[in-house]
Amino acid sequence: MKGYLYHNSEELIVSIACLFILSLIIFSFIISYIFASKTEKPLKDLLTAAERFSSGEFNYRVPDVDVEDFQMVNDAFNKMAKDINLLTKELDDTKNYFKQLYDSISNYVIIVSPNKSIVEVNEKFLEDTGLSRDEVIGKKCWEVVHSYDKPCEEQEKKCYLDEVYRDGVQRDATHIHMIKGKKYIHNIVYTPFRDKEGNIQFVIEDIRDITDVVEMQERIKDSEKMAAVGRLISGLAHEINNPLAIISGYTQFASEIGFSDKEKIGEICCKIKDATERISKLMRILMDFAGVDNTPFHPVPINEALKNTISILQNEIESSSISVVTEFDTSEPYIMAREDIIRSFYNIAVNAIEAMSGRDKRVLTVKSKTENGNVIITFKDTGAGVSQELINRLIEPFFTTKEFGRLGVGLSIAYSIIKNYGGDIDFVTNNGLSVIISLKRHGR
Amino acid sequence: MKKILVVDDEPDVAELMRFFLDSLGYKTDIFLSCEESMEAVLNNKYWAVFCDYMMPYATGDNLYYRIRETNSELAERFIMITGAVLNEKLDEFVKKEGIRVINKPFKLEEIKNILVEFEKAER
Repeated sequence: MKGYLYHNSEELIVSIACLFILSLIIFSFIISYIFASKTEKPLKDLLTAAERFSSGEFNYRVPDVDVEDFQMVNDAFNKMAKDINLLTKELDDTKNYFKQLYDSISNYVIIVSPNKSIVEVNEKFLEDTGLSRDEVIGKKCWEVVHSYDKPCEEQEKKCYLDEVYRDGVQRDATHIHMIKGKKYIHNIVYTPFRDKEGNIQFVIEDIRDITDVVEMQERIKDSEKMAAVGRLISGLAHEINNPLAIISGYTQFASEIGFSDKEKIGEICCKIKDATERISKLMRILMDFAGVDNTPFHPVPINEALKNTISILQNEIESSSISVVTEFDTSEPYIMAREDIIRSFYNIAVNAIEAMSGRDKRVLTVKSKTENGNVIITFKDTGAGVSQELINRLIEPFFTTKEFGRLGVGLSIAYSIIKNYGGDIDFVTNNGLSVIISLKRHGR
Repeated sequence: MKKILVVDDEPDVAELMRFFLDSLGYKTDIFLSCEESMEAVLNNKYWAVFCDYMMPYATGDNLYYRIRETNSELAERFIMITGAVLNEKLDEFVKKEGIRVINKPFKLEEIKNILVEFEKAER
């Protein structure tokens, strides 16, 4: 019966091996359990820390553990967290610094994306317009600055943003903007903002509010206009008051005192008549000045008109010993005007003739030529010319550089007539004065 | 017979003044510019002056200052006659010197009243 349990020694070895493996498995389970129970908490802590850290809690640290290896991992994690925290702070400081810089700019800065949405705006803009960030960020630029309900290009209005996005060239423009029902005059510089590859990412609109400046300029212009009106009134008053003094003086004398000398009556009536005529003439000049003429426009041959002007003035030209040089456009140009255009030429020519009185050289040059569809007429004299600062005042009513007693309306009447026909008048002073008139040529 | 000086670049106004002043019994000299009258002031014994303000070359205030230098009594009977309006220089001059001003067109009565006043003040 010996050896009934194990048929042979091989079976015994297998059994021992099985037992060994089984106990090894059990042992491993036990070890694993012990180990797991020790590491579960630190692992969970590490996981929590990683989660909280990634959600922005950069100050969160992993608590200490009594497992040495884990403590090393935790220390490394905490050091990393500390470093990142510092970096983030630095980043925040830099961001705040730039934001503060951006918000301190006294101009308005708006950053607009290619689809015309506003991606950033500085505080100054919000402060001055009373808009909130939500009313601006993500909104279309045409909604915010123009209060439009559709894009500018759909209203056939030029969009500078499109142009800058197209060619990348900086531009500037002055626009009337309407924000919250208030009108602003803005001077805008559009600058492209490029990424590393050179593609335009945004356009930066640097806006300066010039509403006050423009309004001030308008007020100055108004006051200048008022000053010109004042000069007009004072010039006119002086010219009217003198003949009026003659008329009123003699009529008072006649009615209150009476003339003993009958012969004197005729002489005095003549003086009254002259004075009345002076006032009537002044009124006619004023009528011309106001452009009271309603005959229709018709083609006027320019060379003919210039020749007529010279012939009307033949007496003055001869008595002042002036030589006249003419250079007329051989294509015989026409302009659309009324007869008063001749009056403007006449006034300019008279002015030229008078400017040469007492001068050694007295040459009046009258020219006509065609240039870019315009007829250019030049009257040049050899007078003393006019200083640069007075040149702009030449067309001002009642401005005169000549001797006292001249009304000083000749050139301003000429100017208003020429302007009336869409023309322009220019003065060049160089060895005398050149008056250069440009009028649109009629026909070919 | 008291002599009056009239200075005005408008001959017809000057003539009218002479016509009227003569009728009041004065002897009137007329000049058409300040320059011409300045010499006359030195050579004649005038009792009063009627002077225009806006005249070529020199405005009426120049004559006033010249007269004041040489004849302060006459300067007190200096009357400015003017057709000018809104003239700052004139306004300033008148205010500073307290000059009597007659505006054109004027009433003959105004001129007469001033002369009567001067006559009274003299007595």
